[in-house]
Amino acid sequence: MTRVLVLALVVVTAAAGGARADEETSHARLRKEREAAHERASKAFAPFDGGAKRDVVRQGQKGKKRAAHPMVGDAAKVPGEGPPPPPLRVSPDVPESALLAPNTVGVGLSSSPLLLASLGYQHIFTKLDGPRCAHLPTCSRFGAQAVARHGALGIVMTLDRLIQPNDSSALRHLPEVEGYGMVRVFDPVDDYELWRSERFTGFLLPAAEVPLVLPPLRAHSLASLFTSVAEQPTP
Amino acid sequence: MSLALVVAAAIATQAPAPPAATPAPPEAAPAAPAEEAEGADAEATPAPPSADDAALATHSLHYGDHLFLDGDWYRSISEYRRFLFLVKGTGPDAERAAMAIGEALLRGEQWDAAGRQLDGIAQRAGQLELRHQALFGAGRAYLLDQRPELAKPRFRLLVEDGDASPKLKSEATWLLAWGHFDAGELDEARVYFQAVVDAKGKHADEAKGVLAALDGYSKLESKDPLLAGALALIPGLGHVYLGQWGIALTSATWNGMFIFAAVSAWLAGDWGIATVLTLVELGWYAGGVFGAVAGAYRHNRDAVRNWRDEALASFGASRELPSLHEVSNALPGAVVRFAF
Repeated sequence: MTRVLVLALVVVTAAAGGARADEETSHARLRKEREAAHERASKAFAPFDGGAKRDVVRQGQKGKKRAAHPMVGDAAKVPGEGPPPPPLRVSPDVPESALLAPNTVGVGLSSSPLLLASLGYQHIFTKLDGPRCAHLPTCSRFGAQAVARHGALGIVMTLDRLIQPNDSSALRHLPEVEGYGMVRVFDPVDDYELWRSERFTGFLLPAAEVPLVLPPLRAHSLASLFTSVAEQPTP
Repeated sequence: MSLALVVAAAIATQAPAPPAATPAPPEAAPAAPAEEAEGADAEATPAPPSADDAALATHSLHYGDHLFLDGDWYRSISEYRRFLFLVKGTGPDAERAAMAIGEALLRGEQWDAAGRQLDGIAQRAGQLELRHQALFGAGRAYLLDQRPELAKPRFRLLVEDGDASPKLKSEATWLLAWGHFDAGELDEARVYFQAVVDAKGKHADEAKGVLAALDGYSKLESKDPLLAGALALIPGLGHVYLGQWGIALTSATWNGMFIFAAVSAWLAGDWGIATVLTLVELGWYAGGVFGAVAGAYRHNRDAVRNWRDEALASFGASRELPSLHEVSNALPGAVVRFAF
C-alpha cells in the first residue's frame, strides 16, 4: 500500500512538473511572439528617419543622394512611395552649374557651314537613325561649341571626341547625367581645353576665401533688426 | 536678440539680402516677414503674444519637433517658422527653433539655404555658445556644398577662438583640415590633420589614415602628355601608352584605312578623291594626337580623383551630420546637436 502511495505521489509530482514546464514553454513562446509583434510594430511605426542611413556621400556628388523633393525624407520609408529609383552614376566632378545649359549652340556660328552641317545632322540623320551619341553635350553640339570657341582647333577636338568611349580615361568613367530623354555621359568642351590647368588638378576649382566679418555679440538691437546686417557698420 | 532670429529664419529661403559673409545672390523678398518687419518697426518693443497665440505656438513647436523626428524636414520648418511668428521671436525656445530650421535644412541637404540660415543666426546671436554652434553648422553646410572657400573661414574662426569649447574646437579643426583637402591645399590640410592626431581626440585614427593617404599622393601613377603625344604620331600607340586599348585599335584601324585609301588614290592619279581623303585623314590624325595628349591630362586628373574619392570614402564619413537619433535627449536645434 505504501509503495502504491509513493508511486502515485511520484506520478502526480511528475505530472505537475511537466505541466509547469509546458506552462513555462507556453509563456516563453507567448513572450517571444509578443516581442516579435512589438518589433514589427516598432518597425512599422518608427519615424522615417529620413537621411539618417545614407551611404557615405563623397564630396561633390551633388544630385546623387539628394532626393527629388526633400519634403518627406527617405522616400523608401514613405508608404506608397516605394523604393527610390536607382541613382544615376553621378560624379563629384559635375557641378550643378555646368548642367544649366550644357547643350546650347555655340555662339557666333549663325552663318557658319559647320553649324548648318551640325543642324542638318541633328534634324535629318538623327531623326532617321535615332540618337547615336551617348555624350552630353551631344556630339554635334559639342562640335558647334568647340568651333565657336576655338575655331579650327575645335574641329580637332570634335574628331577626338567622336572616338571617345564613355570613359574619361582608363581609370574612371565619365559621369552620368540625364539629358534629352536618356542617360548620357557628361563630357563638355571645358574638359578638352588643356591649357586650363586648374581643370585638371583633380580637386575643386580654385576659389578665393570669402572673409567672415561678424558683429560683436548683442550688436543688433531691436531697432537694427529690420535693416540688413550687411548695412551695419562693422567695428 | 531673439526677434532677430525671426529674421534669421526668413533668411533660409527668402532673405532680401544675405549676410556679408555669404556671397549667394539675394532672392525674392519674403512676403510675411516683410509685413512682420513693418509692423514691428512701428513698435520698438513687441507686445507679448496672447494666450491663444502662446498655446498655438507651443503646439506648433511640438508638432515641428514631431515632424523633424519623422524626417519631414520642410514641414517641420513651416511649424518652426509659425512658432517664431507667433511668439514674435521672443521666449526661451526661439533660438532653438531658429537653429532647428538650420538643422532641418542641413539634413534636407539644402546646403546653401542651411548655410545662410545658420550664418544669419551667427550674425545676430547674443550668446557666444550659440554663435559658435551656428558658425560650426554653417561651415559644415558649406563644406557639404563643395564650397570650402566659405567653410574654411568659419572653422578657422572656431579653431583660433580661445573661447570656443575644446570639443567644438577639435571638431572644427577636423573639418577645417577637410576644407583644405577639398580645395587641394594639401600642405595646409596636413598641418591640421596632424593637429587632430596630436590632440588624440575623437578623429585621431581617421586623421592618421588621411595622413597616410596624403603620403601616397605623391606616388600616384601619372602619364606624360608629351610622351603620349609623341607616341601618337604612330596612330594608336599613344592610346596604348594610356591603357585605352579600344581607342588605340579604333584609331589604328581608322587611320590605316584612310591612309591606305589616300595613298592608293594618289598613286592612281585620282587627285580629287586623294585630296579629300588626305584632308579627312589629316583631321583624324590630328584628332588622334590631340586625344592622346588630352588623354594623358585626363588620366592624371582621374588618378587624383580616384585617390581623393578613396580617401573621402575611407575617412570622411564624419563630415556628414551624424544620424538623426544619435544624440539622445536633445531636441532638434539644441546646440548640442551641432558639435557631437
